[in-house]
Amino acid sequence: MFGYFLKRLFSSIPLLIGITFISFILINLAPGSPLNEWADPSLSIEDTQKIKTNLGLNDPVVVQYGRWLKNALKGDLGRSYSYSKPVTAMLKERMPATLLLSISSLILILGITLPLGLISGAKKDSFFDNFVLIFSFIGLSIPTFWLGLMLILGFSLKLNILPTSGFIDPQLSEASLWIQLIDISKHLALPLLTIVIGGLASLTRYHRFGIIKILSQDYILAAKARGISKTKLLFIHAFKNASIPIITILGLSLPGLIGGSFIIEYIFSWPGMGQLGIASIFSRDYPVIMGSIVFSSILIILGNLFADIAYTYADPRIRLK
Amino acid sequence: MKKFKPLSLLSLIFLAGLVFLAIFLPLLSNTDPNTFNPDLIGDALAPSLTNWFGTDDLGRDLFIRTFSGARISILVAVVSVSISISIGLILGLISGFSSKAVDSILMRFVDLMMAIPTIFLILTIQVILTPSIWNVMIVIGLTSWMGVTRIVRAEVLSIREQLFITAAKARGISNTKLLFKHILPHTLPPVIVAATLGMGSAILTESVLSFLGLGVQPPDASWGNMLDNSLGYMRESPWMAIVPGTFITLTVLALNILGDDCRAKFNPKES
Repeated sequence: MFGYFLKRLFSSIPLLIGITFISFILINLAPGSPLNEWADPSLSIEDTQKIKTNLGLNDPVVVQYGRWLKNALKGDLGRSYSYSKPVTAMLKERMPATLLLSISSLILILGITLPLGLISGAKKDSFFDNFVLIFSFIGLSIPTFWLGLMLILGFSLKLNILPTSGFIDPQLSEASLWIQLIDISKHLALPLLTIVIGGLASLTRYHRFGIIKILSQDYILAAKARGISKTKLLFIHAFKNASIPIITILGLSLPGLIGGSFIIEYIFSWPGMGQLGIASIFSRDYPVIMGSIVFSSILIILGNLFADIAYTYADPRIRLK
Repeated sequence: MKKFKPLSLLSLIFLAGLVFLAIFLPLLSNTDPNTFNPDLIGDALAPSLTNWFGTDDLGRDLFIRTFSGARISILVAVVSVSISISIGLILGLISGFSSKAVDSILMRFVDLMMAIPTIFLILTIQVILTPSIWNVMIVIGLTSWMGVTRIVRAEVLSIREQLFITAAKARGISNTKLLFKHILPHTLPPVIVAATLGMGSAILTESVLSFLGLGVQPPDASWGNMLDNSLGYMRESPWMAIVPGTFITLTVLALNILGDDCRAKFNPKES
């Protein structure tokens, strides 16, 4: 098991290098230089050239990538053009907010999907099942950013019970920890709800389908013949087997979830890495863009890795391969 | 899946109506979707009998603008999906039909592209290029072919082992003919499903891009930039945000329902 883990970990290194290489080339092939955005317009052309040479912006892109990679391996992702702070420090600052949002949404999504898909699959074609199916179709089709806007419209602007955006009310910086936590969870509610509704739809559909497929297997029939109760059948026999594909689907849907939460963070001004990433795209802050890509790719690769490991754990047949 | 039949029909009618109105409404109407009404600036009108969907902050009729935006969405869906399907078909056929080395290189490349958060890449490229509708279509097409490649490859791999292929080979058919006459047609059903679902996600991506100001530029209307425009008026004129978003949702919903129904038709076992 540990050997497998190490093997997978090593094989994801070339993947990460590939991702950063492609992103770096694409970003740097762009016409125009980030200096045009950031430099003082009164700078002379010679001075601009000097700064470019100093920053290494005149070297071929591949050389620039090599230098970036060498520094990145040492844990140095460069300095932001706009804030002249180290990129790693900026990402670290943003990490807690992003992790809070993504982990709580993952927990909620799984916590709702598993029972919902189970009941829906077990009561195939019932009113409840149709309701879940239609809901999941709508969830798949609704643009998450618009869903976010509609939630703001309903809960913040019309009902006035939840804040529109931000992380915590700045006036509460002196307040007790409890009051601060309550305020943070109020701010968390709408972005969380948006991500959960968006993420729930496809997973529930897959899980329902998995349950239906398993319930039609021979061993379920055999268990039924042995007089095992329906609850036991569903929860012990069907549930565990159907949760295996869910783990994989969850791993596969990570890029979408992470990409989607970027937009959500942006809409709700949630001070996470996604908001930073989008802001850096707009200001063409290349080192921060690269840092965000590296970070989200690592999250995606790790997510897939854990999904694979959970998979081999849940299904011993795969371990042998 | 029987219960989805009426829903599929409804989806088809909705999409046909959308395409029809998108083509003819801007042509036939004497209201230009982009000219604003100086009397109404800053004072958006709620939906009424004269303006069915209301007007926006510049007094432009939202009914006309919605269908003018539908043109953009339909165009983006069709063009970007054509690009991604072409790439996916070609790479999938190559991958499934050629040597193991080529196959594994191509598949690693697919893995790599799938691990990049594409929306991030699309946004970056859009900031760098001058925002235009053509760039949007090309960029979406170039970043969404991976799923199709995998589907086509898997189909080719399973068809290759079938008896009728061995029979065709025994008759001495050339490889090209084998590929295009016997294998390609069998890969098409899942590709049609992928194309239908792909159109939905292309429309969603376009709306995100235009919403962030990186797609269709004002004064031209697109559902995404109409939403962007609505941001400052959410409290007083919520219809400016509700109308375009509802159209995005309904269109994508119709495409998803159709795609799902096609899948059920092509694989009766799965339904």
